Amino acid sequence: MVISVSHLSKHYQVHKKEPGFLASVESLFRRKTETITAVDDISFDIAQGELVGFIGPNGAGKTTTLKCLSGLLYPSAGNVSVLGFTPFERNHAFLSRIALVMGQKNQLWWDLPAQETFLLNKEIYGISDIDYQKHLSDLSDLLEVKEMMKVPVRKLSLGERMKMELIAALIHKPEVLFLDEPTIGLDVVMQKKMRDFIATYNRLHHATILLTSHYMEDVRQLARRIIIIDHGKIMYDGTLDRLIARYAKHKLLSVVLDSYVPPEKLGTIGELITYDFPKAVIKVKRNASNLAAAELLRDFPVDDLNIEEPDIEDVIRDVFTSKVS
Amino acid sequence: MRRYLTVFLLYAQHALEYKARSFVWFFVIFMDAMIYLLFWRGALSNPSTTGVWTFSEAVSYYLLLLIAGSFLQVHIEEEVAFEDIQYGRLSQYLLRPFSYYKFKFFQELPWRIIQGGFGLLSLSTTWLPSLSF
Repeated sequence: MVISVSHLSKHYQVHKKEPGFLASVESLFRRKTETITAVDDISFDIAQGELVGFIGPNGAGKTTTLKCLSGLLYPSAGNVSVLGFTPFERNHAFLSRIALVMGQKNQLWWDLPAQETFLLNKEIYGISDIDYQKHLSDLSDLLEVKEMMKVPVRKLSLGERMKMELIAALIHKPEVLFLDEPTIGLDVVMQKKMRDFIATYNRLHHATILLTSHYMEDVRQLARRIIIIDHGKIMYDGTLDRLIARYAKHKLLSVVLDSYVPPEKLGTIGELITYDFPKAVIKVKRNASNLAAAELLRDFPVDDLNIEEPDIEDVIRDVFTSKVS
Repeated sequence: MRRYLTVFLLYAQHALEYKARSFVWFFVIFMDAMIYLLFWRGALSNPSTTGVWTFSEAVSYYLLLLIAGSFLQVHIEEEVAFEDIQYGRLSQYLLRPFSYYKFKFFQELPWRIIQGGFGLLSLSTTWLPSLSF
């Protein structure tokens, strides 16, 4: 296994203070602290070349886990192994084989062209001139930013900056890539380009990628396996299909009618979610969806009918709210 | 009046929250004063030298002190405290196979050379006109 996490826990001490100046003075002498458990006894393994979606609400423990895996934080308990290294020892051989991209942080020099950061990383990672030129050319072609590399970073758009961040993080061809919300703040077109790039990089280099994102489209399109974390605990680890099959209790019948049918009549099939003639969406029980579809075709003037899975967002929301493990 | 007091107390809380940083800044000023005190202690221990100081020698002394300070005095404490630690840029350094301290040293070196250059420039513009060719 490339990544192996066993009973990982991470606790933080957080200071607490009542509002007001006097409370500030009091905290000089007597400070109240609280222990926060960011990650609570989680275990998982990831094989080489896997692209795993790591999802959860804000404060679930995603970034803390990524920081433990990349060596930025040491665990409070448990064991972590990445490429056979113990991350928090921050061995240079280990750091040369990984990369962590955080969508809200950057390593590019604001006032200089992005190419200067690439050149710095070339020297830091000891990349040969030939490898550097070839890899930079490949990455800039894939991301379509060849013309932008000589422009000061401050003049680039958010999407262009994110592409440059990716090049800076990948210039040393990391075998393990931690992506923490790489599409945050990007428009839908740029999100798609980033997703395509991540998928291509994963396929071409057989890189192991752990991706966190709040955009379910990222996860749906990229990850065959997902890990759901909430309150520091893993709630689900498996394929997206299995998650839907296991937790989605309903399916959606998306129907186009030939002639108008009163909504009360459609409501006899299942829960009418939307009805804007000629289109209607009806929610039915998962195990009765075939029967409901047959009934719809038999008793109603149906022009077109699709049986659809519910939105992945809804399924995951159900997982969070039901706390099913 | 009440709003001024509120602003004052809010920033007082901020200062108390970052008391260690306040101490570092106090220490910077304290060390500057200590260097002057050490110099004057040495100078005053030998009255024969202080007695013969002329104005131009005193100016030379302060200018040389300025140049030495420009080359040697480093103020990366704010960048380390604010940018790297408080705003999380430290992560980017720690993730690369390169020493953070060496990075900071070579990051600061050009500033010292350029600021030292300004010091030399100010010295030359002050001194050169006084030289008679």
